[in-house]
Amino acid sequence: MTLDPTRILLVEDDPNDIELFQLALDGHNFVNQIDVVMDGEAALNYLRIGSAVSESINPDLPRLILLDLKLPKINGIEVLRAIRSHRHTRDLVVVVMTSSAENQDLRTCYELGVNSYIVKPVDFQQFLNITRQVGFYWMMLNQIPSSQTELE
Amino acid sequence: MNHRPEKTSLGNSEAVLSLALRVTKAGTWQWDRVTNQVFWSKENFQLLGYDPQTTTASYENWLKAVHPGDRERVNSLITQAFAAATELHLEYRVLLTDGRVRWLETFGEAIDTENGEPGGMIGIQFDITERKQTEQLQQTRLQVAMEAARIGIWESDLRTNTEWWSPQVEALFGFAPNTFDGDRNTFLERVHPDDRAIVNADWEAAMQTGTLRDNDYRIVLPDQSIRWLSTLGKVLYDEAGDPIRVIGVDVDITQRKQAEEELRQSELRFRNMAANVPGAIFRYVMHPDGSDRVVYMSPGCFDLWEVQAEEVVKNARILWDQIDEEDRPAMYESVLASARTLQPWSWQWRITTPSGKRKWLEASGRPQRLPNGDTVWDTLILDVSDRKRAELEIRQLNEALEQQNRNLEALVEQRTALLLTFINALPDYIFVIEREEMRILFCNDRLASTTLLGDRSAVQGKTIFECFPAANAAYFAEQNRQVFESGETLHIQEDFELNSHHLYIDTYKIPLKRPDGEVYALIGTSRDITELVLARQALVQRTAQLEASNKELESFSYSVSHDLRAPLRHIHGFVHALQQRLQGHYALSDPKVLHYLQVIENSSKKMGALIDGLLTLSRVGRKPMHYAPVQLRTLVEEAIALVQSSTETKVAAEFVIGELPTVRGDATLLQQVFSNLISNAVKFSQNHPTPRIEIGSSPEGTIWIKDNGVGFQMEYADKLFGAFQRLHNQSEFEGTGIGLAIVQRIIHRHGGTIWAESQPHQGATFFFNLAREKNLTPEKDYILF
Repeated sequence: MTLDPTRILLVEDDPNDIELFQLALDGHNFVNQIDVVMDGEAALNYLRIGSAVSESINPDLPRLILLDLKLPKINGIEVLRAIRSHRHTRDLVVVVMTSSAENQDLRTCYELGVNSYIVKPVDFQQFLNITRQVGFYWMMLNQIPSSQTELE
Repeated sequence: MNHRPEKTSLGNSEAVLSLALRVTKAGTWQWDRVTNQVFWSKENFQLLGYDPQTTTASYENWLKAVHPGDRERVNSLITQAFAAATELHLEYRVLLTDGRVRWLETFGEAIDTENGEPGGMIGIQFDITERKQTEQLQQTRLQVAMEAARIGIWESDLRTNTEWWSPQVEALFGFAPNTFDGDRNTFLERVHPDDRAIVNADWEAAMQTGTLRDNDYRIVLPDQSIRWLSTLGKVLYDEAGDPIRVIGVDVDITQRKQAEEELRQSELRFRNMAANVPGAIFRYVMHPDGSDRVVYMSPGCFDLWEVQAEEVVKNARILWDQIDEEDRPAMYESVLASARTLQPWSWQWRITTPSGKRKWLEASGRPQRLPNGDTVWDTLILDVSDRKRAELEIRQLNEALEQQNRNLEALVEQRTALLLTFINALPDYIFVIEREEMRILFCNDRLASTTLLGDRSAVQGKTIFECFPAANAAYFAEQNRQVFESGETLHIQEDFELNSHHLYIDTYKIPLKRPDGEVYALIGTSRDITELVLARQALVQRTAQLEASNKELESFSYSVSHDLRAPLRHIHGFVHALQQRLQGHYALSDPKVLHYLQVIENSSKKMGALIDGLLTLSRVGRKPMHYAPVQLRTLVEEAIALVQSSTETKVAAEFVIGELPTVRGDATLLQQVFSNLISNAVKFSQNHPTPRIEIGSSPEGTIWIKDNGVGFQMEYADKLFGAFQRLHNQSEFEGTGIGLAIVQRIIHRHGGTIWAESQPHQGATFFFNLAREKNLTPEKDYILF
């Protein structure tokens, strides 16, 4: 599987939040495609580490995964754990973007090797700024190992 | 001398002679020399024990009749007398055929023939047996008497200067019979040298007076032993008056002398004892008529009665008179009683001596009844005044002691009653059980009430088997046995079913030991800890509940942080999106539209802030405290930096930081405190031209943050820290009203206090202190207990 450098996977169950994300990411040139999955199971399937594999999903891996924690079926923590425990997804960039400022969540995500943990601000302007910064940083500035580009 | 027969009237003289012979039972005999014929009278035959019919008179027969022991003497004397034709006079014994002995006295006279030639002898003899017996008896008596009395007879012939001593005298002087040489000097040699002079003097005196008397003198025997003798003698004088003979008796008085000496010693001993005896001894006599005498009184009399012994002997009344008058009758009565019953008498009485001394005397004596009806007591009297005094003292002491004892007993009773009340009042079950039979020696009311007997007086003394149901008693007994045998205290917590109640009991059973270590009983105390146990159980339950509650709270907060925030975010986001959309749309030129959209935006922001504040407040209450030394200065500086970076005030406030201590607390939470307080201070001073915020501390550890802002009214100060409480309205100063509630919660979790002082328009000062380290209570206690 190859990595698509302009693809973002958004793992988010709330449609409103999805829309806001899309608004925030709209117009930025570091992203061309935003794929959305709305629960943890779908996320794992998308990344080919779930129990079911759907052929219709794009085989390429996303450059950035924006992961919410509160998800139906399988929650964000478990998704992160699964991502980090599979070789071909282990080095994917995962940024948790969640409403929760709970220290416990923060700690668990760090232990599981999350790249970054962002608390979604209520203020939309702030949300716009942060999203842009996050996107730009992780998509453009951050370097990832080249082995990700090889097929495993 | 020859005798011719009287020539009187033959017939008369013959008849008289015959009569005389018959009456005197005399026997006559004749011996004709010429014819050698012997003639015996009839009486003579009888005297000799012969029958005239059968025996002839002859010299041989006569001799035959003589006692063998006298035959030789008789024969010799008769032969002499016949040959010499002298008078015959002898006494001799005849042995009769029946064995009897007869004494005869014979008188014989020689007769001449007509021509003067010895013609023969005529004789007469008498039966002198009686006389002889009497003589012998007397002699024997005398002998016996003298021997018994150790008396010896002696004679001293002054003319020849010889002495004759009887065998007794010889024996007295240690001579064998008939060995004394008759010399008076021999006698004198035997006399003790010290007594010789007096013996001689007495001898000389006797010559004058006619009576010799040597009362006591000693003689020394050959074996050097000493004898005491006493001599009595009579001097015989001739017609001229010269002493010619002394006849005397010596008496061995040695025994008497010894007896005298012993008596003397005995007397001396007695006198000494009598003199030395403490008190006095005396002999008191009561006559049948009631009169009395003191027959003997020892010298000690004077020490007792201040009267000489002799006086008392003269007049016994002296003793009675010194006795206290009221004591006399009883004493006299006791004496009479002793005389009647002959029982030993003893008495104590008081006297007053002539000099006025008061004494107690004690006497004891044994009575004896004499044949003449007198009763006599040998009595010992002692001065017991000291003893009486001592007895009195002892009695008094005893009384005092007894009183003390009574007092002590009363005190002990009091104390015991007090203790008992106390022990009975205790809620614990207290008991003492002895080892032998497991008797309950003591228990308090509480324990008694649990027994079958119920009452303490009924329970005490009974065994545990009599007081409890069999199963319980057996169980207790087993426990008790364990304590008795191991000698160790048992501490055990048990639960019982009693009357369908579940009881928890905490029991101590402590062994009581004798000095040798043997356990003889145990003392037990049981406490009903049911309440305690139940409370603890409830507490545990409650804790679990609280923990569950906490858990719920946590998940609630978690939900809130996600679920409440999301819609807000959406509202805010879509309002913004709407605003963007409406750019260039005519609707936006309508100020109302703009305004409404603004309100929606602001409200959602506000709500977000409120929720954040609530979440913070909740988190602040739940977060585990991490205690560490915290430098407050650092926190303050960080808080200032944070405020300065986030604030939108154009005019930066002036910050003055004073001395700040290092405290023990949770750094994160304390950071929050300073952030909130300082941002508050800045916010409420924003209208001041020169806002100035001071942070400092007092020596006692109180921290203060002072601003020169708008201040507040003190009468509303109690609302300051309430959640959502505001003292200013939103148009003046925006805010959630949560900030100070959070600060207070944090300060309280540190065990401290926070308060504020202010005057409107004169700024406000917020004070807080944290608990002293030793007062910090662990977090657990804060939440649950």
